[in-house]
Amino acid sequence: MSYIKTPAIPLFLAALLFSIIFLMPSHAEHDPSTSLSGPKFSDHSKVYQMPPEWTKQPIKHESSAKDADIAVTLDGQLYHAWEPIINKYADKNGLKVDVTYGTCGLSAGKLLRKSADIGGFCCPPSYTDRLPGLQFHTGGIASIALIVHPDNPIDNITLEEARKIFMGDIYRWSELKTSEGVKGLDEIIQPTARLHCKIRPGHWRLLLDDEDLFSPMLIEVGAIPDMILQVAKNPRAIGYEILWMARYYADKGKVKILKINGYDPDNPLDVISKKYPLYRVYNFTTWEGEGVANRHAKGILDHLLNEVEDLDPKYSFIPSSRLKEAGWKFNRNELIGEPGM
Amino acid sequence: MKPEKEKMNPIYSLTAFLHQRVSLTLKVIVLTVVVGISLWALLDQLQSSKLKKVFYVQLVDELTEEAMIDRLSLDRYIKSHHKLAKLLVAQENLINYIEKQVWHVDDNIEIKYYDRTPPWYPKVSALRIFAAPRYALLLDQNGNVMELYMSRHNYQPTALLSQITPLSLAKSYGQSLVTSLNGLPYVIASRPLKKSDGSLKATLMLASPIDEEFLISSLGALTPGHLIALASQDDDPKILTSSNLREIAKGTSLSTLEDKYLITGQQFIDYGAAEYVIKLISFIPVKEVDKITNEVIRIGRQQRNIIAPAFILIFASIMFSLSTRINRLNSQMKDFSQQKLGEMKNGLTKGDQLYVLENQFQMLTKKVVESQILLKQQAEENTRLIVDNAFDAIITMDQDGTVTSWNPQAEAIFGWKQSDILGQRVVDTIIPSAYRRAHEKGLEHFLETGEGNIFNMQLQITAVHRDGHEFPIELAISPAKRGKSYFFIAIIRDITERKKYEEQIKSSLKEKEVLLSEIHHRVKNNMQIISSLLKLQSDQISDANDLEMIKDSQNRIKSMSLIHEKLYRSKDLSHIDFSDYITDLIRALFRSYGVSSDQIAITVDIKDIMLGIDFAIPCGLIINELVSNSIKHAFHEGTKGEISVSMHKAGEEMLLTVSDNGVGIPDDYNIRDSESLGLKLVSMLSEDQLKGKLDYSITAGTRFNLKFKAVDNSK
Repeated sequence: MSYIKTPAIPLFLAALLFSIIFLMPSHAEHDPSTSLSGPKFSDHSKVYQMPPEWTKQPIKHESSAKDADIAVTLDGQLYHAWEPIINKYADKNGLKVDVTYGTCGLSAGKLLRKSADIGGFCCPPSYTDRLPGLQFHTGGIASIALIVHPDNPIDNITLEEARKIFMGDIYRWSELKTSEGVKGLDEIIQPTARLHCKIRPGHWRLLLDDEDLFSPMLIEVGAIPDMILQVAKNPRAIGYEILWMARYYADKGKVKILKINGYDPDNPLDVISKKYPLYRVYNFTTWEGEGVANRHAKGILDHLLNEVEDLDPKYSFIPSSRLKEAGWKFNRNELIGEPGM
Repeated sequence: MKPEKEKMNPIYSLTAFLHQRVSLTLKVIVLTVVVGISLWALLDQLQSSKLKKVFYVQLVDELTEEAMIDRLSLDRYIKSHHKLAKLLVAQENLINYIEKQVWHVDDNIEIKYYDRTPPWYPKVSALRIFAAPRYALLLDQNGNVMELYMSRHNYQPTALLSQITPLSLAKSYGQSLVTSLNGLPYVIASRPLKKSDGSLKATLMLASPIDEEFLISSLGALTPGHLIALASQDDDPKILTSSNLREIAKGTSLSTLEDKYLITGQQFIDYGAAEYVIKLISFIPVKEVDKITNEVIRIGRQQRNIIAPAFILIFASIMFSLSTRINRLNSQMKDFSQQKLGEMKNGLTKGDQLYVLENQFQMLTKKVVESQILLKQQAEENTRLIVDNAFDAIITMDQDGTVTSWNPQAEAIFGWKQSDILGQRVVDTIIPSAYRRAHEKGLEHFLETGEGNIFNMQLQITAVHRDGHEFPIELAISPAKRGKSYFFIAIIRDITERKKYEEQIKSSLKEKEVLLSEIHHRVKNNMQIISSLLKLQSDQISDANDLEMIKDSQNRIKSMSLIHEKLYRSKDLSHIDFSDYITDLIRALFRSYGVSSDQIAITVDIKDIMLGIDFAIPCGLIINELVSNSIKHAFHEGTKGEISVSMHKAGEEMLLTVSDNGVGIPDDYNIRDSESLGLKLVSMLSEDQLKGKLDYSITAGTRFNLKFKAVDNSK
């Protein structure tokens, strides 16, 4: 009993606990490439200030949608998945809806011009997208897949390797090994990127924050077909694309999807648990406030957020409900942070 | 045959003339040329159309790829504004320039314009590697434009200066922002220049309207005729600008260009930095496409120009050869027709060879058919004449038993007129009631099995006359088949008279047979009386030689008497079974000479020989003499002997052999010189009466052979 009371022991235990807590490197510090990743989300609390006359300006549909009860502009990827659902809803509820195919930039442009009631983005909003009265609602997220030529034997790389490849630090495939330990091709790697939506956080910026971090040898392409074409035609190439498009062409034998850190982009659990690190965020927007809020918008939005649960699996869409369950951070309907952020 | 009215029709006349009178060779050559040229034209049209379609598809594919390259080039050019801005803000010239600038901002801002390269901007040659922005602007920390460089003189960017907002400025910091200023698409890229304390000192902005010049610069050397344009995205897309505004003017509706251009591409200018939907479209003028396709079509046409006449020539040659052969065939048919069927009138000799051939063939066919009909008619007439004039009745009956034909002789025999009996059943008319059942059963059996035991043979039965009396007929029935049905031909002869004669002859013959039998019987009896007389007389003769003579005569008479006895006992009264006769004769001789078969064995080898009286009597006498000689002289008393008598046919001759194994006659003995009546008789009967050849041998006894021609009636 006497030695238990000796203060050396508690002191030792305290020192040990201190060592464990403070000396053990954190995950972020251990990952040397974390600093290469850009912001995943913008500050939701910051709203871009617009002149008062703009704020007073009501929503006015463009000529093509002048008779529509509600005008919707969607990024191309959202359009494919959601346009039929919106139209079905409109038919059911006797609404005239004008759904236009576009991009994040076009959605942002229309919202800025106040010509659309609902917008759709394939990225988290930038500061300049957060216009007064505009509310973002996250439908879900989907993996971004790294893709290579089908003849490339590499099937798995680490996120660090991926970053080094796109930065040009790893420039031959033979510097990598397959999951079976076979060396990659003795060929120079051709990184290919689609650096869209540069002002918005997330998406490709989860790989490398800035376009200046990418290799000088980088081939920049403007559209999904260009990306697929570059990778499908060049056995040395590596690129990335949203999973459902990558899967579509992989199933046709045009490209091959790589695992990252041994995790498959097809597995939603790995994405939710952040083991698979690359993803895109899909947001819808609605207006709040007098003169801008459309009375039908809420109904459509609710319908969209409900339907996301039953969306065709080919879109590899991970609905917000599952993210919420897993501890991803939301402000109202908008995804604003990963778990632990 | 065409109606006369139709023949009068001038179109018909012309058609007929062309069809019949114009030479096939000429027609084929004309037709080949006309069809060949038409076909050539049609093929040309089809091939050209198809070729154009293929080319269009090919060109659209190529244009699609071209459009992708166009867009990549345009993307690069737009993005290079942002990259150049990045580069410029790091440039020492600009940094130093900005450091030195003190911009005074008051209500009347005076923008400093440059129409030559400003000191803070790279030299023109250095810019050639990048996009060459139309405008470079320096903005103060409040976003006011302070300095402006215009690469084109006198093109003040009014819209740019008036519509730049803090938001668009902010959006263009990190990217090349594509926006719309006064309806014209612009690309804007900005970068901040900061003081050492990090606060904003100025902003560099690069801006270019995306216009005709921009498009040309972005794409470099364009393929001749290859045009690109930017278009708005709405229900009726309009051209915002093009790489050749003279060709495709601003504001032109895209739908109005579809006839003049192959249009493809229509992709967004987008990388998340375009605020307006702007589509990049690639065009190739249809006339350019036509120029290429027309060249290929021209080459194809040249080839066809060579091939088509060659084909026409070959075809014409073949047709000429065929026409020649048809002419030859026509000539042969004509010769044949003339030789075999006589001169044919109205035969065409000139004009369309095939028509002439057709005409010849039709006439020949007609002639052959006429000949066949004539032959058939003649044959039928002949048959009818034969049937009508036949001595016998010829009638036919179908398989139901109904009379189907009836000739005049049948009318005469049966008393039925043809008109009365045709259609009536045979069984009800000419067959006696006793045979009707058998007739029906026989017919039924034949129809079932195809077998019948009365066909193809002559039968003698009775038939019924129309008046009811029955009379004998001779009948031959033959079945025949016409199609699936049988019919029966009966040839019938009334044999009533013949039967009557036959009966008379039979009766007469019977009378004669009785008479002949009676004669033979009486001859035999008379001979037996003569023999008995000789026997009685021999009782009064003591001389042995005389007795011998009497006995011989008696035996000779017996041998003849035995023949008559055999004849009247035989059935036909003219032939006797010679074996039976000889056996009885020898037995009588043995009895006459008191010889038993133990002493002299007798062998008779005569089988199945029937002889008439003309041969039987001489043969019987010869055997009688020779066997009597053998019994009397061949064997010493107390010795046993053997006598053989045989008669065989050898071809047309009879061979009669009488032999014994006795002592034989002397070597120098000649029967023709013999004093013996018996041997003389043998020699005389053999040679004079039977006209045969007699010889004898004396080896191991005596052997007489007689060959003569005789009719054996055994069969």
